Amino acid sequence: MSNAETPASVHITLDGVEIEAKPGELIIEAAERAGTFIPRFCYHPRMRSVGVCRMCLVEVSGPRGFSLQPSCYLPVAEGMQVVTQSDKVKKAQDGVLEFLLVNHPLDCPVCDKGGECPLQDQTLAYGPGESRFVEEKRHWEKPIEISKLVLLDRERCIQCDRCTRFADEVARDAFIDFAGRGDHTEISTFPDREFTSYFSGNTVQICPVGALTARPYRFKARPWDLEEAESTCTQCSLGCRMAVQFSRGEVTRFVGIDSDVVNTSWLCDLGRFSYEALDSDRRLVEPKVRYRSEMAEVSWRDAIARVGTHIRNFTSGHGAGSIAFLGGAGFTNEGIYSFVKLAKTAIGTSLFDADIDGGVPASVVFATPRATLVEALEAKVLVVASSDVREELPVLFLRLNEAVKKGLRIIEVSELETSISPLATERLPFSAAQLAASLRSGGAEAERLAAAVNASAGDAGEGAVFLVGKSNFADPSAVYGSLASVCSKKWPAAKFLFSNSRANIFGAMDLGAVPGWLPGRVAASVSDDAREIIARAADEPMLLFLLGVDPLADLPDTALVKAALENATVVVIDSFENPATDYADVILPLAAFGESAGTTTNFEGRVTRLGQVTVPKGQAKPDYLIAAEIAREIGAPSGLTAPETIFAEMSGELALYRGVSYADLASDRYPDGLVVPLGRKAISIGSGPRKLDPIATPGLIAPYHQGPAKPFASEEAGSATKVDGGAPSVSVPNLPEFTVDAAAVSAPAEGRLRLLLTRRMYRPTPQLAAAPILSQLTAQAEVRVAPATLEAIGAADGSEVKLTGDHGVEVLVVARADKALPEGVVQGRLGKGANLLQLVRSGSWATHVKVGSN
Amino acid sequence: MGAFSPEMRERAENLLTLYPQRRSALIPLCHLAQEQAGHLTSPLMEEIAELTGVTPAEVYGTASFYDMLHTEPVGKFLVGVCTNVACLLQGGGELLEHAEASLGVAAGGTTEDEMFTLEEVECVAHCDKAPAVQVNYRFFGPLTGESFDDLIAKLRAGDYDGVVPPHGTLIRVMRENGIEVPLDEVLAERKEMDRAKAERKAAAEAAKEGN
Repeated sequence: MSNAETPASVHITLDGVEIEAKPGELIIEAAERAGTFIPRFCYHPRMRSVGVCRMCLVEVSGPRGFSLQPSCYLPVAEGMQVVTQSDKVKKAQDGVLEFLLVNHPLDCPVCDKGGECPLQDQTLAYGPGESRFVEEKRHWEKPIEISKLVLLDRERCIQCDRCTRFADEVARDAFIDFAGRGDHTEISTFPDREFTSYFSGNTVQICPVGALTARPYRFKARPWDLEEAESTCTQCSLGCRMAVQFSRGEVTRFVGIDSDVVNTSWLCDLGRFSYEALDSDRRLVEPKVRYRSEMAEVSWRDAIARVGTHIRNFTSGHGAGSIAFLGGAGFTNEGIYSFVKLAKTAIGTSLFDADIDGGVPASVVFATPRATLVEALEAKVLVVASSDVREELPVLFLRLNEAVKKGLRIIEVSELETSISPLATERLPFSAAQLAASLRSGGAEAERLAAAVNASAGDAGEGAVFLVGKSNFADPSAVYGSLASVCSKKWPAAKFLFSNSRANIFGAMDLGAVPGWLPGRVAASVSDDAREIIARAADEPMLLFLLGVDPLADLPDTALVKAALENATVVVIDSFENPATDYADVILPLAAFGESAGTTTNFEGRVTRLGQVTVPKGQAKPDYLIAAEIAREIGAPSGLTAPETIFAEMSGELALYRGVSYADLASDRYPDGLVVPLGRKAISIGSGPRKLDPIATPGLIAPYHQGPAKPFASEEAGSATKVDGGAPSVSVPNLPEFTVDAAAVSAPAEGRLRLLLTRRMYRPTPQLAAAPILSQLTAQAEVRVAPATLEAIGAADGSEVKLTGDHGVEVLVVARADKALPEGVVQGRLGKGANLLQLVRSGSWATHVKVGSN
Repeated sequence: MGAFSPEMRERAENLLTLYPQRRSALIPLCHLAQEQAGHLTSPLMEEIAELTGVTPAEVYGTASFYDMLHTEPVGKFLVGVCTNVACLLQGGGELLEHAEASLGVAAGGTTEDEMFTLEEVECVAHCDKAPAVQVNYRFFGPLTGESFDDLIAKLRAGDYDGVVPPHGTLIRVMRENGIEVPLDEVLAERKEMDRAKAERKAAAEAAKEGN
């Protein structure tokens, strides 16, 4: 049937009432929208239907009268009659539940799922009430550990295929599957292998019984004791929406919220289980100052007084330009705004750099038209020239995988094979610098990309979206700025997203916590970035504020960073112990996730509220309060002591936030926050009706602002904010020019290999180290080289090799042969153990290393 | 380096070319692996996963579904005693009890010398010779306790070498030169089928419109 003939809607009769349904929609979905809940176990709105549990049987009219049909498998048809409540349906439901309970243990009182269990709930609502079963039930060893995070109790499994379908089709990690047959069917991993998926926690969330349980949550709480608040995950800049569930002032677990525009209920394990660290001994909970060589616990008053003294001394002795702020990308928008105001107004220094990773610079982020995630997923073509998406923005990988199935075309630009490569229509094996140079001056690489993009999106790139990010952490940020900049010039109609992955890095950019910018995307004169600040601090007296960063782990040139930290006076404002705290003169304990209210901004520019569910641990304080106390101490009281007040000031003074109110962000109207700035046309800022199917996401009761599903039009939202349409009120700067020395990047180095540094999801961060179970998954540093390279130096696969950097630094690290790698490069995967970043010299266009046997 | 021997690897690769989708070769490859090792070892399953483009867990899941695929070691001879109706009436149950006593293992077990694995099987379609026994899928019957012991002794002595192949060998006549796939013929046949199908469909639609 051609499109013209497809009817806009079909009509079916549901329990005697005529309803409208979308063509191709399943009966179960149509019924749900009409308000009729059909019981189900295997059906999940975010996955392919399989119709295996038979719980959703309803009577459907056919040529030979009514018959029982699975409503999760049968699409609606014009004139179809559906009966969901009849003796026949009731008998079928009784029968299905009786069969499911034949082998299901009645251990609900000790089961984590008890109280939020679809099997328990639906047995009560639709079950026979009595069992005729007197025989012995099936027994398995219980529970078995299928990964460090997930435990499997096979006795409770009802073989709904949800976890296996998730692992296979959503996560592309089919490390679990059904094994055996008949009543011996079990979920199983491959013998002696673990379910090592980055997304394994989702299987626990969607399990309709207590067969899969998460170790960090096991026996922690009963669902009816849990309170919950909606919040946003701050492990990366994707900003997954989630419910923070807590009990007696303690965070007990995170549950993904089915937000159409962000994470469709999925979370990665790093985000889902990051709360483990909140109660750790490695939390910084007392203000400390250094007396002689010892750190001593002091009161907040004394600690702030010491900070004030330092600020006054440095200002009078060396000028305000001797005071610098590094980090802050993990803070709330309110905290960042307060610190930026403290630094740039009260103190008068322009040295502030939150982008410690040196990702795509703010000047490019502001100058290019930004896409939303949904626009990227529905793009005519998506060009991914970024770090490995699964490692940096994990849930984005799930969304891209889903979008590719719906027809999204991805062109990947990457020297290395990444998780995106199997999804991509084409992979162009170029480095970012190579491509940028080629696009600027013409070349084969540019032509290949142009051919791929123009085929779908035309010469102007209408409907094309570029995802640009740092694919090699040894590169300077200018390489990626240059790439995005030339792409935007070549395809002026294309939109952009950037994979800078620190939680609130885009909020930090918007609020002027990066060199050359003031709050509200207002340009200022160019100033030193984090690398230059560190270089200066190694020579001159400086006062360094470390805002939730560990420069030793995150900046290149470790020797220089060490010298800088030793030379400078360091104030650490952080939630977790980290190597940099050893160099601190003052430590101010920072409230962690869930302990502080505020807002955060994701990579689309979407501003969402963070839920505060508990008081800060120990003496810790929220970021904005720390800034306010320092400001008061130095005689510049800001009055910014509550997130509401701070946000009101932001939206009052900065055009960027005009029309957005703090209260709006927690309303039913904007369940997924707002993308700033408002008022630009065709900006999709809201979510569609929320899928609040408790069976799809057991454990989610009703976060406070999730109202009943209601239609949501983006136009309406735009007008409701009372912002004039037409010209955006935030000025868009011109595309910046970057000079990238492409020759230096590709220059062959005799006997040496070009170093490509990549990160993994479980990278050693202070928070990960503080999480008892997650920390066991921390990735080890390793290098990968072409097998021939390994052979040439006579080293075996998996043995230690010695890398020698340009400036003579030597690192011992395990090497693995990788057939997919081209010769001439070495892939360094950052992790614990060896510090590969020390091989990189700040400011060099490319890093070359010599690989030798140990 | 691989788990398959070079010869088996070649046969495996030939098998893969038979199917439009690689994963369709999963079960044939499992049989091939059993022919080599008697049962599916973990390295073999991993190699099959690599060849068919699925995960090892999926190979294990599939293999564990089928009775003829073994993920645990089995003896050189897989002895299946039928206890389905026809055989049961002819003393299949007693024969199984005798076999258990005589081999010293319960059904499902393997003798210590790793020569025999005893199984209780459903109908093997050898009812005219009930009670029937199959050894590596070759049939014997009718058997009594005595003739069963005699069969075991002969198997042990190697008298049936050449008649009863090693466990895992499914076909009696091994193809000499691997598997020859006349791909042209297969493609031509598929094309012809598609054409015929389209013709039938067109005819059906024409008939419908005529009405």
